[in-house]
Amino acid sequence: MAANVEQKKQTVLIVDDQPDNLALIGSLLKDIYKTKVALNGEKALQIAISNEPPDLILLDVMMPGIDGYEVCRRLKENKATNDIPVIFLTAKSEVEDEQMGLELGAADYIAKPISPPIVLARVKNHLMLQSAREYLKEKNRFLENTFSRYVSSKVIEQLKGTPIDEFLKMDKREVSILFVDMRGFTALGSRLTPEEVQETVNSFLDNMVKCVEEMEGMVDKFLGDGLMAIFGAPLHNETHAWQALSAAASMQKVHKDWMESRQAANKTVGAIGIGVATGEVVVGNVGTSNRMEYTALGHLVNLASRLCSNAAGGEILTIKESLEQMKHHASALQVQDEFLTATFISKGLTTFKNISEPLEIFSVSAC
Amino acid sequence: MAAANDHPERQVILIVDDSPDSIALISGLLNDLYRVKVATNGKDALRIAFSSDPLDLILLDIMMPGMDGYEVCSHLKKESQISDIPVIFLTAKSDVADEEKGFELGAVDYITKPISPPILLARIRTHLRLKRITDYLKHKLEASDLL
Repeated sequence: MAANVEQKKQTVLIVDDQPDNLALIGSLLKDIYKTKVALNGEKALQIAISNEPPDLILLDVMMPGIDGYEVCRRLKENKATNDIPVIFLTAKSEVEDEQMGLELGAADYIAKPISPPIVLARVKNHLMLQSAREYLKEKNRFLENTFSRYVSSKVIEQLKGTPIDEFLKMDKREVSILFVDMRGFTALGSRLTPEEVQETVNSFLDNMVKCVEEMEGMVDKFLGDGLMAIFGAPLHNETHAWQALSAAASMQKVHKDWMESRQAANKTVGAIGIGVATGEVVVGNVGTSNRMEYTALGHLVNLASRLCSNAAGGEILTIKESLEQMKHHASALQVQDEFLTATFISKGLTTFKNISEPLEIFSVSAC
Repeated sequence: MAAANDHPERQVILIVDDSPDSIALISGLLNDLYRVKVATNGKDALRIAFSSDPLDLILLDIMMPGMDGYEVCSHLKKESQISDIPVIFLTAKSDVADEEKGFELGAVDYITKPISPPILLARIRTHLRLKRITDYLKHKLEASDLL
């Protein structure tokens, strides 16, 4: 058992045209890592593209033939080797050189004559970072598992492109939250067979999800006979208020048509109420290791949910912030939508729990 | 400090140096990318490190009157709630024995003065990334009761 658990040593490739330097650095690292050596750039590149590539490269800058900068450039150009961290070893330390080396994609510099503790610390730092990165490459798989049911493939592709740092942090940002639910569904449920309930809910939610995806929102969760969607996260999006209210508008339209077709088939269903609110929330991945979920946290979520429950069938309730931003974006994007330019009627001030001041609520009805 | 609150999502770096010139130079390089806090002596540095606004990295000058950088570092590393804040020493002298001592105290790297801006930025980036990933993994492990 112990033999199986023993970790495979990581490999460090040392590249220097001075055999003395190779010996010195090699003896420093050999107890902790597996070491390989190369006396010139050509040899270094050969080892890097071999079947057993190194986990990190210590690369002398001044070498006859191809110098360290050129080696680094070629490593970074090749997809097979561009992930390997490169630390330059250099006697001269001009700021311009360091700038250039780092721009080529090097991870760090070590000044010669080398200091053993510094070499050990920097090699360790970059190997650690590299292992952690590899571990987190799993992130893409995780993303697909977590999001693929709820967001369009376009959004997933964009998420894969975002750096790990961006993806991991809990972020305070402005978004628009939408809640929708179908009225009278519970009552309906008692009259239908389980199969009929399932068919009705799936068909209803399918329509709602399409409306969210069309506007590049994310379905955060399904809530029985409704759902919660976020606009403006995980992908940043300036026009989230416009997208959320557009999605709300198309939900009402699509649902109205669906209700009519159901009616014709003698399967009456209720209208939907929608709440949309724009403001600051904390977004990010929360949960435990085996069940992580991207979501939004904050009073705004409760507010959007309350707006949704207060809305009558066919109605969209929203707040001033959403409305003003939506109008601004709609004119900036030059979109024409009769529903969105329709008059939202003020329903006066309403007090909400955990929100210090009463908010002015606006309503628009689709039907 | 109003500027520090403009970007609450940015990582926070504490610069500890008794030389105002040095602080001005470094914070000038970091201000656009991070939230920057400063201390001109070890006592203030510890007070800031223990405050409720958590730090992501500390740049710590070694030679300071009163409490020196080594002493600040060993205080930091003794306290479990702040011991995982990475410390990078800033130093004018580069003596192997001193470097050894710094690493033994728990520092993660050294930056030699005079400061090279690209090197400073690269090392900070490395350690902030590591910090973010370790925090994330730690959070996951804690959640799964493995820690």
